[in-house]
Amino acid sequence: MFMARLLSRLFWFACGVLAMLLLLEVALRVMPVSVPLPRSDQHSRWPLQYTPPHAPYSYSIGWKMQNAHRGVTNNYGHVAPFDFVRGSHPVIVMGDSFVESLMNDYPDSLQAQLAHKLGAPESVYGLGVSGMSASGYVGLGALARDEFAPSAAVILITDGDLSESLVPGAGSYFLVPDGAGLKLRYEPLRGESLTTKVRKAIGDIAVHRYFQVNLQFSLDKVFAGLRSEPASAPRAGDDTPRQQQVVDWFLDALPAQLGLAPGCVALLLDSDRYALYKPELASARKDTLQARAYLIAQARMRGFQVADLEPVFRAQYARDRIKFDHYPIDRHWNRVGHGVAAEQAKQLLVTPLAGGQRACLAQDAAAAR
Amino acid sequence: MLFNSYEFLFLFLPATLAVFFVLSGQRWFKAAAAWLALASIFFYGYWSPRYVVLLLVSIALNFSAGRALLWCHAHERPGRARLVLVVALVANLLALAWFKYANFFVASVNGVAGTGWTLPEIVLPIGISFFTFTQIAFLVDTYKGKVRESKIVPYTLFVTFFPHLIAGPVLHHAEMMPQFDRQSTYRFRTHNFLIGTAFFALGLFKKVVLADGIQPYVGPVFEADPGYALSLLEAWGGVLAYTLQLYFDFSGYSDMAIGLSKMINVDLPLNFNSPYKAANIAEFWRRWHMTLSRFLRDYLYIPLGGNRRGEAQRYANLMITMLLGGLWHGAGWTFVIWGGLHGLYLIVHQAWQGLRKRFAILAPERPSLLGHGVAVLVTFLSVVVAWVFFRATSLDAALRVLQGMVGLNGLALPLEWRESFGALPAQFRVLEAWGGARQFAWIGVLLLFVWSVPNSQQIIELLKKHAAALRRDHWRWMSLGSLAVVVFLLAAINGSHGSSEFIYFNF
Repeated sequence: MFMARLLSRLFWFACGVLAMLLLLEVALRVMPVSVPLPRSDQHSRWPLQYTPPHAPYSYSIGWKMQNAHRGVTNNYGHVAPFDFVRGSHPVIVMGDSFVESLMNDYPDSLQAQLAHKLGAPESVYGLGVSGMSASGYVGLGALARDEFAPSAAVILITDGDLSESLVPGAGSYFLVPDGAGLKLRYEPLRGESLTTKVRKAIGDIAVHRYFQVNLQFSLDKVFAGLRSEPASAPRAGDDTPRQQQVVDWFLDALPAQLGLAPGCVALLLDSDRYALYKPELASARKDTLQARAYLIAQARMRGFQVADLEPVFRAQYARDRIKFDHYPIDRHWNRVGHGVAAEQAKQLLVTPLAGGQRACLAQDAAAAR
Repeated sequence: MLFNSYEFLFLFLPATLAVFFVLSGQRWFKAAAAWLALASIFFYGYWSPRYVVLLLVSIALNFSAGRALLWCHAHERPGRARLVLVVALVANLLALAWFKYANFFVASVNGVAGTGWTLPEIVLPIGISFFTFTQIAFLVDTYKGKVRESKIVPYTLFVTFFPHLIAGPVLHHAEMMPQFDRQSTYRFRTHNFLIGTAFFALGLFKKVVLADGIQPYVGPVFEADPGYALSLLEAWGGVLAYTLQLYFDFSGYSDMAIGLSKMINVDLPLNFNSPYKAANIAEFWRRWHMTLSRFLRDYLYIPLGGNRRGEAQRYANLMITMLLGGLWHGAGWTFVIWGGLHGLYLIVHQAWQGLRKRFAILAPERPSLLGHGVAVLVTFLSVVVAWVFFRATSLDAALRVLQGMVGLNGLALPLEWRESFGALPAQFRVLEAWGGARQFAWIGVLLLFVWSVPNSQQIIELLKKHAAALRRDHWRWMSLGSLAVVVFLLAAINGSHGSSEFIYFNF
C-alpha cells in the first residue's frame, strides 16, 4: 500500500517535471537562445570550412539573452552576408571570437568596416574562429593561401593566443616540442560516434542550449559550490620563455604559410579595455606582458605591420569616454572597438612602408578590385 | 549559506527536510526539533564557524536570563526581575554595539574631536541584529509574563530556526513556540509542502530575476566617481532601480523564508504587503518590513509613551523610534539620516491627519481615484528620496545623487539619442551611469509589478481559492514536480551570475 502510494506520487511528480520542461521548451524556442555554430565535418579543410555552409545560428548572452543576434553562415561556413570566392585575392582577417563577431551586426565588424574604409565591400574576408589561437592562425593561414590567394592579412592577437597555442586538443592546431623548437600539429576529430550523435540531438533542445550556453551550467559548477574550499584560480601566466618561443615560431611560420611578405601582414594586439574603465576590473592575464612586448618588438623587427591597440584605446577613451565593448556583460568589441581596429588595420595596409617601399594595399587599387 | 546557492538548494535543504520528516515519521518529535536546531546552527556556521560561539553564548545567556525572570515571577521578586531584565538588555545591546557600532563610534569621535583612536578590524557577525532583537523581545515578553520558556532545545530552535535566522522576519516567541510544540507540525503534509514550495519559488524568482536583473543599473550611479556629474536621467534611473531592487530582494528573501518554514508546517509572519501601494507613510510602514515595524512599535515607540502624552511627545517618540530604526540598519550617518527623514515624514503625516480632523474640507468622505493616485505617488517619491541615503556609501555620495535628481547637473541626454531627439533643448553626452533603453524597460516593468500585480501572499491565496484541482493528491505532486523544475532553473540562473547576497544580510 505504502509502496503503491509512493510510486503513484513519484509518477505524478515526474509528470509535473515533464510538463514544465515541455512548457519551457516551447517558450525558449521562440526566444533568442544561443545556438553555437555547428562544426563542419570537412575535417581536412577545417577551419577554412568552419561550419556547414548556410548554417543558421543565434547568439545571445547570459540568462537575460541580451544582445541577441541571428544569422546564417556563408558558403564557407563563416559569418558574412556574401559568399567567399576562390582565388579572389581578398584581404583576410583572422582571429578568434572577436573576428567571428557573432555579438555584432555584420556591418559593425572589423572586416566589414575595413572593407568599407578600403571602398571595396566584399574584398575583406573575416575568418574568425572562436577559441582559436596563434598556432591556429598559422594552420588556417595555409588553407586560406591555397584557397583565396590573399593580397594581405590582418591578424588579431588577443590575450591567451600565445599560451593556448601550446594546449593540445582534438580538432585543433597546436604546437608540440620538436627538438629545441616547436612544430605545428593538427589533431583531427574522430568520426561521429554514437555519443556525438546523441549530444547533437540533445543540443537541438532549446532548454539544454539555454542551460549549457546561456547559463553556462555544468555539474562541475554545482559541485564546486558544494566544496568547502573555493577552487583555486588559474595561475596567472608566468611562462614568458615558453610564450616567447611561441612568438618566434609564429613569426617565422606566418609569412610562408600565408604566402605573403611580412609587410602585408598586419598584426593588431588587443588590450584589456576594462582596465581602462576601472583598474579593479582588469582581468588576470594568460599571456605575460613581457611576451606581448616581445611579440611587438620581434614583429616590427621582422617587417610585420604592427598596431598595439592599447595606447589607441586609452587615448580615445580619455577623449570620448565611449566604451569599446559590450560592457559590462561581454568583453568582446562593439561597433566602436571594431571601428578602432579597422582604422588601425587600414592605416597599416595603405601606408607606405619604411625605407620607401610601396604600401601593401593602395586604397584606390583595393576599391578597384 | 544563501537560500539561492547550490549548496543550500541541493544539499542542505533536502538533507535537513529528509531527516526531519524521517524523525517525525517515527514520532520522535523532540529529536526532530533538535535536528532542526542543529541544522540551523550548521547553516549559520557555514558562513563563519567562529561566530557560532557568539550565537550560542547569546542563546545561553538570554535563555538563562529568561529562566531567572521566571524564577523571579514565581517567587514574586519584581525588583530583581527588573534588574535581570536591565542587565540582560544591556548585555545584548553592548554586544550589538561592539560588533556593529564600535567602528562607527570611533570614526565619529575621531571626526569631531580630531583624535586618532583605532580599533582592530571588527567583522559584523551575520544576522546579529536579527537574533539580538528576537531575544530582546523574548526577554521583555518574559518579564511581562506573556511567555514562559524553560526548555533549552525549543528555545534554541526558536532563535536559530534557519529560515529566519539571518535576515528575519523578526519573530515573537509567543507566535512560534506553540507551532513547535504541536504534533501536527511533525508530519509531512503535501498541501503545506506545496504552498511552501510555491512561496519559495516566488521569492527565488523575485530575487534572482527581478532584483538581480535590475541590480546592474544601481552601482554605476551610487558608485560613480566623485568628479562625475550625474545627469537627471542617470540619477533617477539609478535611484528607481535601487528602490525596486531593494523591495524585490528583501521581499523575495522573506517569501523564501516563509516558504521554507511552511514546508515544515510552521507559519512565519508576513513581512511585506505591497508597500509601494501605500497611500501615506504610516501605511507604508504597516506594509514594509512589517515584523520590524511591529518590533519598533511594541518595544520602543509604545514604551517611550507612544501617543499617550500629547502631540509634542508623540512627535518626539516617532522621531526617536525612526532614528534608532535607521541606526539598527547600519552604523553610519546615512542610515541615521534615512531614519530621520522617515521620522519627519511620519510627523508631517500625523500633523496632516490632525488638520484633516479639524477641517472637513481636507478629508473628503471618499477620496477620488486621482487623489488616491497622487497620494500613492507622493508617498512613493518620498520613500525613493530617503532610499538615496540608505544606499549611498557616504553623505557626499548621497548628496551627489540628489544633486542629479533635482537637475542641478542639467538635463543631459544620451549621445545616441541625438539623432532622434536633436531638436530638444538638451545637452547630449556620453552617460556613463545610464543603462540605455533596457533600463527604462526594467524600471517600467518592475513598477508595473509593484503597483498592479498581486503580491506573493495574494497570489498564493488566489491559487488556494481557485485551483480546486490542488485538493487532489496527484495534482499536488504534479505541481510539486513542475515547481522543482522552476526552482532548478532559477538556481541555475542564479549560478550563472554568481550567488549574490541578499541586501538585508548586511544589517
